[in-house]
Amino acid sequence: MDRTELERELERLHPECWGWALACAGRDRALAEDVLQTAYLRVLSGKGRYDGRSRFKSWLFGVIRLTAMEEVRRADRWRAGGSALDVSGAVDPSPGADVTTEQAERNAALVAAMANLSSRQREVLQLVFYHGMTIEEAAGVMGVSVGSARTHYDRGKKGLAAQIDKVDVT
Amino acid sequence: MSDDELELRKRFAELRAEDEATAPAYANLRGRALEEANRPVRRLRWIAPTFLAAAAAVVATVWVMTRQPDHEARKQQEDASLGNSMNAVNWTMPTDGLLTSARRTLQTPALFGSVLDAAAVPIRGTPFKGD
Repeated sequence: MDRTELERELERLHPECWGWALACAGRDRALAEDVLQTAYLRVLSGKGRYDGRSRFKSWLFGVIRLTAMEEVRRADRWRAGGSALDVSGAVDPSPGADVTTEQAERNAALVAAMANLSSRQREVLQLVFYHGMTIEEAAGVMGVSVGSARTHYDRGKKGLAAQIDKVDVT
Repeated sequence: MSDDELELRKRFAELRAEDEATAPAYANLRGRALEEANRPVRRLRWIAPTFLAAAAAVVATVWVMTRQPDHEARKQQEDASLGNSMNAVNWTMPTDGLLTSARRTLQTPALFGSVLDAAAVPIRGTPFKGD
């Protein structure tokens, strides 16, 4: 993949990468921007090289995930608590301009429900439901076996559905 | 696809729409990434030689400090070992004197000599037999 093609792919996938970086950075916008910037730097400078063994998107998500882990660890040195995909930490509560209050509340409820899952469960659900990946692709991004990803998916899905039901009832 | 899955898919789609509406521009992040790529290299150009020189000085100091006692200890060890080998060369058995007198007793006497010759003790200052 040459430089022009690489840049075009990065730009096309940017909105999705942003969503994944947000998830990996515990919904902390500032940290997510740092993560994405560092990940782009790695890709554009050739430090991270795409070898064509998986889909480009899966590979790029893997780079973002590893970068987020490093950035979160570094950020943890300066402020106590928090970890990769820890959504209980710095959640940006402000919705976008074109998001209704009701929708913002539903989204906040989803984020809060996700916070009660394990990090693996959050990752696999985010990759499957938010990014439309298969469980096999999600396993590749997460660096776990397909069987393990499927187990996290099943448990996470049940847990999340139960929590959302509980919130909707109340 | 189950009802749960459909509901979750819908919920995540809403969250995704909100996230995408607030996403920073690609050009901004790309620009900052490229800026960042140039900055550490310039800084490293100055930092690297200074750091390497300081590290080399520390390593040399530590090496000299740890090596000096070693050198002295080795020298002392060598001296002691040389002394031991010299002692070994000059060492004689405590019973060596008995062997000497026994050897003299067992010696074949000279044709015109006396068996008492072996017991004869030379008097200092006077010529002895055969001298």
